[in-house]
Amino acid sequence: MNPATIRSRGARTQRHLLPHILFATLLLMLTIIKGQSFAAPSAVESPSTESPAPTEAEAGAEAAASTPTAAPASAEVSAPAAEPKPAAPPTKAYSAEEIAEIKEKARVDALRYADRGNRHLWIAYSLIWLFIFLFIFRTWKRSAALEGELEDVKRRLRAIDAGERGAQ
Amino acid sequence: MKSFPLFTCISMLGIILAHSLAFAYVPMEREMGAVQRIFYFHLPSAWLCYLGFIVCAVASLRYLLSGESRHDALALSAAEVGLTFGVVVLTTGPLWARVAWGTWWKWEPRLTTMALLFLIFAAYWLLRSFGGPGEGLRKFSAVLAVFGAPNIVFVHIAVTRWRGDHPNNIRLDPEMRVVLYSALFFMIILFIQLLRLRYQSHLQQRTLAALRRRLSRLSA
Repeated sequence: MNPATIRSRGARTQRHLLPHILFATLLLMLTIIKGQSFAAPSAVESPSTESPAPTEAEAGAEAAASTPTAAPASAEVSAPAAEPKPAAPPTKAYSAEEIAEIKEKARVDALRYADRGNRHLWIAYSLIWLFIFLFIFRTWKRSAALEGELEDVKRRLRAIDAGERGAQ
Repeated sequence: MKSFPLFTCISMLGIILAHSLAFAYVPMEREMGAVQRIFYFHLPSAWLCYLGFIVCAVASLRYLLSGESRHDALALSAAEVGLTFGVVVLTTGPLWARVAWGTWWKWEPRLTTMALLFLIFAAYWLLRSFGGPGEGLRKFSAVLAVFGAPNIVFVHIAVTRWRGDHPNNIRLDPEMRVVLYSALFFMIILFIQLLRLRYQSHLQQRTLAALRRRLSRLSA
């Protein structure tokens, strides 16, 4: 087999594969970056640990709360004693550092649900996958190159062996 | 090599599909918000990182016992693939932590032991990359892999044993489980393909080196 043919075939395969890999990577990045716009706070929120049943329980609780005059006495009899209201915390003057810390915490908390606030996060995340896919491509390209070199060396060895047999 | 484009493209497209599911199908988690969606790729990456390092340790042990070069090639390939997924874990984790904890990094048990595990196998890979082709270095690095892999147990028990802040034993809604297992499935295919590719590449390198030595002897 002609090494030149192997190399050209390998090069054609690389040229054929590269657009697909680049397209897949681009599609992934777009999916990630655009996809965070699907995660709007107004979308259906379901708690991670609770079943759908709580919505009925909440409805039941709302219905019970909407009729306070109906059974206040029975509520007092059946319900456990209400906990004493905790005393209001004493007012204190916050220092500038504490105010800055509270503001930073509030800003970070707001990022959790913002549609566009954490776009940089998703861009960084997409770059991670871009590097992974480039690593895969580079590995495949190196393996294909090694295969070509192996065939070349084997061909030369066969030529030397054939020359030695002919000389004998 | 003919199957490489097919299965690798399947795994890459599958990962893209899993991302689409993570953004469009799964509802938003109540406490973490949008950033929680990283979880569906952070957790499988961690598991596959462990798997890579376990395969490296087992192959290293077989190499130490049998001396066969192919076990050493498998160990090196598994370490490289494990490190790749380790990079995914250690980069997606801080991205999530920045929003969830308000800080990029915490020296809490799981993160610390995971970083230590990563550094051990990074040392293994650096030794093999820059230490030359000697037999002694291969055995030294094999011993490092065998003794470094048990650190995986410490990473796994770190949260429960030392009361870390890292989430543990999370209960998932059915939609979340679907996405998690889909992502895991396609990432497993990617893991296998990558391992197979690196293994073939290392074997080819050794064969090429041996044939070149023979060629130079015959040519001389």
